[in-house]
Amino acid sequence: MNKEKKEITVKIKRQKNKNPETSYWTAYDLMATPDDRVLDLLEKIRHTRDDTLAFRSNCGHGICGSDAMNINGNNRLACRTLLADLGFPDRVIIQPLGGFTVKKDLVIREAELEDIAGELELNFSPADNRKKEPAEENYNNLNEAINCIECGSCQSACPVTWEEKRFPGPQLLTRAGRYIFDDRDSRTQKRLHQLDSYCSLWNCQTIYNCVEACPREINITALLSELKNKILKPD
Amino acid sequence: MTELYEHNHLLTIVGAGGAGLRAALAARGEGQKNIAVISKVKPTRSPTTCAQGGIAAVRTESGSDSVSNHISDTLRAGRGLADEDAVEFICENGPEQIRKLENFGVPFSRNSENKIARRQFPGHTSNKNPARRLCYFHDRTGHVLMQTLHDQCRSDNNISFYNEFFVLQLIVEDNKICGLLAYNIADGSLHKFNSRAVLLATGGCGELFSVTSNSKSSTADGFALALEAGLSVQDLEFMQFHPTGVRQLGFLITEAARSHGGQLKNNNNKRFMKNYAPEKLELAPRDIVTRAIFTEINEGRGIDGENFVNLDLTGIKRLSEKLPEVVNLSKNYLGIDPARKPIPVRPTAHYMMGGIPTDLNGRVKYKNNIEGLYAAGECACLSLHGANRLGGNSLLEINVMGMKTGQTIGRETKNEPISSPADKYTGKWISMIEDFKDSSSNFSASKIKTELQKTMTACSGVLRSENSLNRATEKIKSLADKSRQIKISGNSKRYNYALVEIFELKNMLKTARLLTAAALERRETRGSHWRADYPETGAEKWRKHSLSRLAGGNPEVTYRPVTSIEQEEDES
Repeated sequence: MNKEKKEITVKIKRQKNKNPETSYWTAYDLMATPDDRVLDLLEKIRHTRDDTLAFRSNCGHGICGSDAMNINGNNRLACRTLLADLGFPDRVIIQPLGGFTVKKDLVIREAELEDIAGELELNFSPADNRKKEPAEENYNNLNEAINCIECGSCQSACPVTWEEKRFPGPQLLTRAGRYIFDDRDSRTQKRLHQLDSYCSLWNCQTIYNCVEACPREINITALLSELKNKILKPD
Repeated sequence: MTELYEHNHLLTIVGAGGAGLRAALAARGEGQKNIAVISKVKPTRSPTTCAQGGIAAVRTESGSDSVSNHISDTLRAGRGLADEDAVEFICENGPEQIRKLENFGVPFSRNSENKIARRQFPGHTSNKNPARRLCYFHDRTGHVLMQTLHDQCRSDNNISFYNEFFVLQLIVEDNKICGLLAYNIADGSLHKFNSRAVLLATGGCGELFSVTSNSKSSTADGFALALEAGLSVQDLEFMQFHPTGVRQLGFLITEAARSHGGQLKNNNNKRFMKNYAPEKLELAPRDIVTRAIFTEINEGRGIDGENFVNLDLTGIKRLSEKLPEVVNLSKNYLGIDPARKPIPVRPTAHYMMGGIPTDLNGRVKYKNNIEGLYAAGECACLSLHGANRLGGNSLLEINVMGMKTGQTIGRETKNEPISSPADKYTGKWISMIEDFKDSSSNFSASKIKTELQKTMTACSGVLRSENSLNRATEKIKSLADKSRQIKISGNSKRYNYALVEIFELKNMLKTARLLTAAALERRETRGSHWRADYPETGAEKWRKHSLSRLAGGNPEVTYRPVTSIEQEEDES
């Protein structure tokens, strides 16, 4: 374990309520080591400096998707980011994920995503006549898509979602892909038709921000391109 | 004055992990149309999501394994404290449950014949040979299970989610459940849920200990709700410590790592399991492996004399394909590629075998029954696991009991008007919350929580004695006293996590007190309960379940016998 220790400054963008005009910055000087997670810093601040600091977290090891935030300019999970990963900097700047309504401090509003999830009917619908063997390509894509932890990092990083509120965005398209690539599902054509409509999949401009932001290293843009191929070349 | 919002739902489920969501779907399957699911966190963030290994369920068409093998393995691992009726019921329902989950969309990993694959896991045997019995999805079984169940639930308009709500107390009138009172974390408002049935599916209490595999949300909430309602909680002294948690952070390296050939080594680079379980070695059940690791560390054979041993996975072929999550976690947090170097591990608080006692329909039973109150999952105690849980049996239990309880409630809760008893509690909670707020002071719950965790780990943890448990009792009492002085500086109603932490701490203190009392009373060693001063194990007189409750604020521990059923058929 690395014993190197130094004082760093943690700057956090705060916000009192939904109104962006209530935002302000706070800064804290803390002793830290390269092995500290950003989550450790946030907890230390809440427990010793300011108990009003609001952020979500739960599993602490990158599988539950609670603590995505913008850390030194990139969307990351606070629990999955060691200071060493950031180059053990003197300053860590933390902001809520961009593009979302902020409810308080680092807590974002997720209800919009839930609404779109409802519209996309993101649930499995078993086919009567199941294919005996899933096509290998589909299975590999399913494996990739199901890795999503719904943390919001990609959604926030995608510039199209900032402009076009009706665009489901990379997170929900990945989640839709999870069922489209599943050969056991019966609604493949319906789902593809839905994604083909105005404001849907075709708004993806292959900018790759989502891929860069994904803490699960899902190749989202490639998955969405596979979905586009499926629309153009149905089986 | 805080406004009180009222909601009417026939069934209110507290907790949206695997058991809660599975129950919601089963109740829907029975035509139930008015279901609320309350959760402290968004459902997919529940600790079930962290489960790696798999779901134990025999492949019935296979000739090499059988349900009776699964039953005898579970009973043996339970060290005489598993109830036979519960074990039979759960194991027999395993195969059907896998088919149902497959139909909900869980994409279990497949074998070369495109059938649902099974993996070997410690403690699962067939004719003394290791049995392949766990259905899985790589090492992210819990994650895909939760994603699938959540997708099924959220597309159903008859299931209303109340995410980021904290349940403060159950409302009971004339021994009948009438609903509950909850606090909305997002805006600080209070909500009264009127219901004909309430299901507690609140998970466990790993947060009682300094090092745990559980999520932050595992704060013993369900146990405390039941205790406050005057109920008894069973077998609380049986807290399972998983043998292989990552050194400081506590999260798991799945037991599948050992089934695939992972070896445990001490400071002398020796495979020490041969001294503790000469036949099964690393494939011994959790209680044995945990004690072995703890002994190695205590006797100075931890790596560099420190409190961990090595889990060596370097001999496993195609490691990143078999255990991708383990490889990523290890690289990410430790900078260790487990294909080349061993992972530092130590026991980590993992699973509460005890809980709110229920029958096979999920009804809460024993002393002061409350009509309409149910429990399922880790917060419940069906007596399936006894004194030591077998890996893969908890994902099985949440699914079988989630389904069974949901079906029972769905069938038995009539679609009759929901009564709304006069509110008696809101005033009490509002003034309590106001009392905590004091901008001039900052005596936070987290300090007490950390002290509680240290105490429980040192005195009520893997190894216990009368002395240590007495020390724990005194310390918990003084921490409970201190907790009355907690003040929070923030007056905000929005996402006031400091306040939520106080609610959680109160639940933890109550449960810690009873866990310690039950551990003090049990003067023997059995399964996860290891007493330095009473090392004898397996005595018939201790083959009984503890029932602990709060009587005038003090713990009261009584016992009930273990349920055995006469063997009607020979084991084949």
